[in-house]
Amino acid sequence: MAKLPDYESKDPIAWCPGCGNFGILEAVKQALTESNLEPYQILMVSGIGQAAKLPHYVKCNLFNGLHGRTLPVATAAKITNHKLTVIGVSGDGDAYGEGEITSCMLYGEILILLIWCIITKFMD
Amino acid sequence: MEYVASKAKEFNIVVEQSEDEIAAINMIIGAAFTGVRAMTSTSGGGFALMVEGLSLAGMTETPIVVVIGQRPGPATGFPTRTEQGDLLFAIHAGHGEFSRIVFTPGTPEEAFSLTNKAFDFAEKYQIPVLILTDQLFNDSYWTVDAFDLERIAVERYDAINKWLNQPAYTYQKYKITETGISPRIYPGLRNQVVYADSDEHTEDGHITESAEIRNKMVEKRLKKFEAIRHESGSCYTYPEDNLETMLVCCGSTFGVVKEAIDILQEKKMKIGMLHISEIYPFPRESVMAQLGFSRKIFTVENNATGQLFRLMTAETRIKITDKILKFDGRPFSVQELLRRIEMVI
Repeated sequence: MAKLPDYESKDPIAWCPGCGNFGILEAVKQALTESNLEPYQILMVSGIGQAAKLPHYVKCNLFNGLHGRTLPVATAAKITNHKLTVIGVSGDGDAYGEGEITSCMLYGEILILLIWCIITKFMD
Repeated sequence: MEYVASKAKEFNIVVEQSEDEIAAINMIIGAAFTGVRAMTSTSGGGFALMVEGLSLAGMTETPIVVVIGQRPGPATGFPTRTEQGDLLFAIHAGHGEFSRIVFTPGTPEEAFSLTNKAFDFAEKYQIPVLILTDQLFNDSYWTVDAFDLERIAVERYDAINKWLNQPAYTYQKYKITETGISPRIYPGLRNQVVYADSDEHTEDGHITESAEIRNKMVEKRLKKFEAIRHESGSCYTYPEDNLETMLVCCGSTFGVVKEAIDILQEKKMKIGMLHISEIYPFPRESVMAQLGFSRKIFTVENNATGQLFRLMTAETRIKITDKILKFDGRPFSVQELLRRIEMVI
């Protein structure tokens, strides 16, 4: 079983200090640790955006593709190698604004898709 | 596609009709990234939707094969008729600069062998390969000798065996090499991870803004093109090269041009044809050698702007006499082609 440090990535994190994404990153790493999966058994697929950078900050396979195109890539990867745990990672802009969201639904493939939204408070 | 789908179980192929062309090209990229040969097929308008994905394949260095069945455009045009109007589109499609190969088969034998070659080159060079056909070609029937399956080889060009035994988590998908081609493994290989990114990236596959790394990666991706140039691009000439008058064509005009040549040869005309099926990288040396002594050269094309004429002029500086064009959505009949040749000679 991989201990928490095994999911550490060498890539310096490009999010602003205080961003909610840091909390999400820790939660993802914790979930992966509890899953008993080795880094090489996981593939994260993302599009474009701050949320989509998350896979770079986790040690696992990653495909960081085009804006909104997370699901087709993730679906095909899962069909190609169903032993991989495939996780789609997306922000609200990437998934809902630009996204190709029906790919996964059509094929009934078991994927996990994480979509979240960081609400930035605008100062007066 | 229905034929392939009917054979899917027997040959271990996944066949999917995706919700749109954007999904289709992103799916084949996801599949190829994860370790299988993947291809898709569409028309000119569908390819227009795939163009961003093509750029993704070029940037991530993912091997894919795309068949483009040309129809008269622009936009909806004649959905059920034929044209060769997407040649330059296919050659230049995709924002940014990256290597790709384009084939234009003219016979069923060429379609068969070039599809095999397309996969071979796609995986060897880790690039997208495009195969241009058109409605005429795709809806025609031929009687042919059985294809020689002995000539078909399947080579994956991956580095899996080597990377089974390397130190854990040291693989770099975009390692800079002499040829520009990095060793390739797939996600799921024990104790290694693979990072692919549409952003500009380091050898590791992480995002970077560095000018120095950018220069290296751009050169890496473009370097492959010169190596490909040496491996492809022989042209078909009939009955021989360097005759006084030569007709140049690519793709589905093969049959009607050859038939016209036969008729004109019987009339003792010194005329021949040159057909190009491996059109990009453009086979400059081959074409210049096979037309160097010809006095009159004409392109025969199913489009309005003489795209083969423009491509050949740009690539070889050969002085082409004229272009014979047809763009009403119908193929040349041999009678029409003979009339048109007579008008320009």
